[in-house]
Amino acid sequence: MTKAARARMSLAARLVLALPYGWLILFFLAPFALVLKVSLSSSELGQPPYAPIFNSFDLADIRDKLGALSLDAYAGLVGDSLYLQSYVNSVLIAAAATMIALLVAYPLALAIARSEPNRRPLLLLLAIAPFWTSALVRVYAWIMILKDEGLINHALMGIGLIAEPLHIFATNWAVLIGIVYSYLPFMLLPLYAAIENQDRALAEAAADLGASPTGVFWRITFPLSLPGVLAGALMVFIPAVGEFVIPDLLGGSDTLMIGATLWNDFFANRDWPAASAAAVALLALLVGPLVLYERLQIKAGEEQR
Amino acid sequence: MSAPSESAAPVVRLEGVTKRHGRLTAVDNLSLSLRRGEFFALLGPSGCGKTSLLRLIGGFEAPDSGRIFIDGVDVTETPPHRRPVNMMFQTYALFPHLNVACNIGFGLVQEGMPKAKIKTRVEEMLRFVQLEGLGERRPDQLSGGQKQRVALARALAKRPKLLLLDEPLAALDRRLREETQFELMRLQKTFGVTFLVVTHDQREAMAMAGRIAVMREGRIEQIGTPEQIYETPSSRYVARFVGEINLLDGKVATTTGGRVSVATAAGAVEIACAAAYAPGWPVAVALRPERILVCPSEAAPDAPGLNLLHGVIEEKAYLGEVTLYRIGLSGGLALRAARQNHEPGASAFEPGDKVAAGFTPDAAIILPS
Repeated sequence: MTKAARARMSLAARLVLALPYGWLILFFLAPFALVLKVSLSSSELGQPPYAPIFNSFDLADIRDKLGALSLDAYAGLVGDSLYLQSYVNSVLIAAAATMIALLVAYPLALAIARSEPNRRPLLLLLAIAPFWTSALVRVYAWIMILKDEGLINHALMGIGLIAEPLHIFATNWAVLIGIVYSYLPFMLLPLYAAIENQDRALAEAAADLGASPTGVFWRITFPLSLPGVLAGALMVFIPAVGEFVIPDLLGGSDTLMIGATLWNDFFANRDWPAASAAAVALLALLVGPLVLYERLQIKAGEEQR
Repeated sequence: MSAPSESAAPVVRLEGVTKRHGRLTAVDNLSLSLRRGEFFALLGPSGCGKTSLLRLIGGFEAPDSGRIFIDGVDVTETPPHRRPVNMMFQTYALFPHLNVACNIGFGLVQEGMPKAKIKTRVEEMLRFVQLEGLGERRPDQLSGGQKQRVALARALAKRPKLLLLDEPLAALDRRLREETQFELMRLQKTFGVTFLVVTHDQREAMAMAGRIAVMREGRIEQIGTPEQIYETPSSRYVARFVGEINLLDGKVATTTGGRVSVATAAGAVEIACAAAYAPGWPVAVALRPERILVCPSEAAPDAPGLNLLHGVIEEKAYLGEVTLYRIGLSGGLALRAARQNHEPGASAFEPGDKVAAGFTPDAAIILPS
């Protein structure tokens, strides 16, 4: 935006722009500042369970507290292998779930995008309709399906395929299934948009030039849907890494994800600085690659011009 | 490898092809043969089924009935990627994620042509469409005219037996359109490929094509050379669609020795006509504006056989090379006349002038009403 354009921007436009910024400051930046603050404090017995820090605007007090800042909580993250394991496990489970969600959602998105135009809204609605009920209820329903005497085991044993029930419930597999199921719409919608937006003539032109249907898919449809794939993957992966409810309900005692570890630190151990540090580290872990991706996007956009 | 006898066989033959979209019949029991190496135009307004016909030949749609033959082979059930035809899409459909060279070489890669040979062929195609050195560009870095030429090069790279062109000039501005017309004709001659072009622009069709099929509601109304279509349209529809024309409704009065006398509301006229019409038969006299001689009413030439209709100039438009007049005749009829301005006195008449519109019997034709 040029300076002149900025000057011409009306008050109304500024107000409209202020809304999303205000939202972000109020509900993201401010809570984040609080968490950051706590993470730099040290643990204490009491209420709240951390050493008071930056609670007043008294300059002398701030200078005083600045000296008392501690990185102990962060050192703890590195020192305790539980955190490292939690992070690695979370990233692995989230990555696997993202992969599976992509494999499930892509054919679905392709089928919906290639169906009759007047039938697409209905099909999309059907794919998303279950997600209008409470997420908690749906995850509980999966317990009924996956547990040893649940639907799947009943069915498989009923037709004589297995003699002993499969132990799916309370394993990482159940967590994986739960995450894939819960986050499927976040993968489906960007994929659908990316495929539906493609000019049908592109696929026809490729076929016209001799590409078989599989050739058309791998050379035209899929490469052109990559922005949708990436958007969907990020929208599944990022919340899945920090997922707490699904591993808590479907996972077993050995399921180690960072969300549960955080919860334990906060509520069981009452070590707020450690938990806050873990949360800040998680954010850095996820924001890093995102910023890098954004940079690449901008660079690619500039090269095209 | 083609035997001499084969070259006379049609490249494409459609037999009674019908295609319905819901309740709408896009192509209606249509039969058509294209000669090898010809430049053929399907001309018609939007919705006449010309694009559907193109898509049927390309294999993007399947006919409800009828057969399609390419080079004598029945391809009715053949998917597009196995048909020896290529298509240039109206939107060009360039692959946005591939550069110009990869776009042009796309079909050759599918064919399994060796890499080195593809490179040579792509260079050659770039030269043909005068885009040398732009092989590395991405489609979104090209101008409209350049995109059009890449699309053309891509469609021609595989040396198809038939090239289908869907409104190839529609997306270009007027100046570029005329230039590209000649470019298309040049490439068609160079490659000797049969071109089937779909267009709604009669000037475009007449300028480029050796033969034109005028389509209406899924059927072919008339097939012929541009001259045949323009000079002897077979119906009011064709006459109206191709160029400007005056249609004077009347009834046949007499038929004598190759002359038909027609009684119109503006007076009787004599038209040269080989066919015999029964007296009283309703017909239309079709007369091109440029075939009408405009002269002052009192100084009308008294040549034998010359038809003269008296009227008043209602409107005048000076267009540079021609002057258009609208002449009000008696009986509520009107004629549009076009006079070449290089002829003396061509633009001399003003609205209100009493004039006579003259035309010889062979200047007009008779169409069924």
